[in-house]
Amino acid sequence: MKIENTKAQMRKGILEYCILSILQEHPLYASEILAKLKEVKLLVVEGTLYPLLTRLKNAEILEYNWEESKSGPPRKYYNITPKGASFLAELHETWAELKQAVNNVTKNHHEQNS
Amino acid sequence: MNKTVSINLSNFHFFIDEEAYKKLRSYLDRIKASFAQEQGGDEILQDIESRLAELFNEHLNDQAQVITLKEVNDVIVIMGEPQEFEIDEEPTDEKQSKRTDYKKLYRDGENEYIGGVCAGLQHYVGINVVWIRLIFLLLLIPGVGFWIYIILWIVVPEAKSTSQKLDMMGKPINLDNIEKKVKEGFEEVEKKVKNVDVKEVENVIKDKSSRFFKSLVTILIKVVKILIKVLGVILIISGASGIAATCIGLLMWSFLDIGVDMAQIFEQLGYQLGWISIAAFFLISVPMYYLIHLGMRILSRQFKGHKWPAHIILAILFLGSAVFLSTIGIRELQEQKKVAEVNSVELIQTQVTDTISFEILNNHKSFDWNDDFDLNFNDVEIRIGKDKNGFLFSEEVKLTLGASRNKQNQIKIIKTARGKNKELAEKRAKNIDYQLKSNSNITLIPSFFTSPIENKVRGQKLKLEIRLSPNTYFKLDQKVYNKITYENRRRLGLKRGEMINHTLFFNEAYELKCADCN
Repeated sequence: MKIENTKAQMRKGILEYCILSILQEHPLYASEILAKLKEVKLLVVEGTLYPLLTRLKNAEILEYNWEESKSGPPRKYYNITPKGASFLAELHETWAELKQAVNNVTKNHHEQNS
Repeated sequence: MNKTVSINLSNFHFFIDEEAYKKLRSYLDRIKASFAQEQGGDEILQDIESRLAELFNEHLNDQAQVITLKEVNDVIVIMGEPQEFEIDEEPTDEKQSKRTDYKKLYRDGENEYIGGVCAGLQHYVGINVVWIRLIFLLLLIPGVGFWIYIILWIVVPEAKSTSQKLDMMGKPINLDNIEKKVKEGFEEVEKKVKNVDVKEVENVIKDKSSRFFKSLVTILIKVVKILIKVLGVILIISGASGIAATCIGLLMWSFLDIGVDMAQIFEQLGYQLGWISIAAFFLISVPMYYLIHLGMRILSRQFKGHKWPAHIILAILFLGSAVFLSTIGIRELQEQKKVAEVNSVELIQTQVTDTISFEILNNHKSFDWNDDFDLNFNDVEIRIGKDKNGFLFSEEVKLTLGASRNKQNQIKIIKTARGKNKELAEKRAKNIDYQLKSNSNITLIPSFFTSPIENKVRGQKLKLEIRLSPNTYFKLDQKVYNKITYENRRRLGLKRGEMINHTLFFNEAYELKCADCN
């Protein structure tokens, strides 16, 4: 069992969850998503985002619309599909459960150790 | 001064300098390669390109500014290498350990100095590249290292795709790598800030020397290629001229009109000229043909030559000719196996008081023969008489002079010839025609002998032993002197200047004396 594997899997799940959460309020284009993710230091290289967006789109969790931009070519604005919304709701629940479980486990563990 | 390229990135127009363009190009190619298998790969590439355009716009102060290597490097750091994108498929443990444990040897094109061999070995062996380069430099001194380097350069592939690069580094694909890379990136940036000048200078030197070596190698390869082509041309020319010379030579035999029927002459000698010519032609021209063939192959890779039946026929013709000609050769040698001598003695009739003169009968000018034709085998020649018949002719007549022990003045004629057996050799020797002539006190010694052509050239020789009783006076002229063997002259003390045309005699002690010398 490699620590890198565990970390990667955790990050992967969390990254998807965060992207969907960011897009929940209103549609955004890639650069705006990047800015938000970078704010919270979830992303180290920007390249990671693009394959992820495309795969979520292919899985019909996201969709996009082309919108004109004042400062350049049209942009892809990503939006959550109904299917994506229910997927996100599930993720919310799972996350809440996980957070609770992790908190409890780590808390107990720390108490035992100290 | 740098060349600038104009590019269109996601509908934005940029000027980019050439080095930076190459770097960007290869970066985009790597991304493209890593998403080649994926559904929507093109879309990912487009999205990344449009993001790159945005980043360049942020980094440049105004639109007219040129993108340099620095901007490209900065943007690549932000965007990350394609292998850093992957957090997707969860790698199995086995796959992971495989990636980590088994490094593969590749040339590292990114850190290359000449061909990237040393940099590639660095990853593989885990020793700093400086040491590897040093080892190669040391090996270069006796010349071994040069060849090892060239062989490795050819044999070891360059890491082009992402997975090959990972194989080279021996690192697994996962998110942890991204962190590492970023850390390395920060450290590198730190370093860059610290020794900006050193790095710059080093890069310039590295780039220049790398280019120099690359162009040197290109030139060398071109020179070698040209030399090989020249060799091809030389082969074709020599092959063609060889065949031409053979043809001309053989045609001369057959068609040159010298009033001689060559075929008949050869037949009398026991050979069939036609077959010998054909065999000689194939023996020479088949190898020449293959020289041309080889030359054509060198000049053009498309040149295939003939199919195998043609080669087999040529091989049979060549081998057949070789066997035929060597059979003749062997037969010739066999016919030279035995030697036989035939002797006859002629007495010289004189009065005691007379002086005998020996003169050479040099009358082959009066001989009736065709002057155009002369086939010479060592000492025996084949000549054609005016009657168009051939005969053997030789000036191989040797003389020895000595005192006679039996009080008689005599000349012993020794005829020698070779043959398959003693009888045949003896028969040939007997067939040598040689007649001494005498005219009062002058003895005429012909300078040559002849023999019928059927006897063939079989080492025919003629020796005359002149034996004179003591106190017999005699004279020798210059031509006779020339026919006397060197050894005999020495033994007698016969000297050209003093004794030619003087009166000579043998005393009672069988010593040569001069009667009227000073």
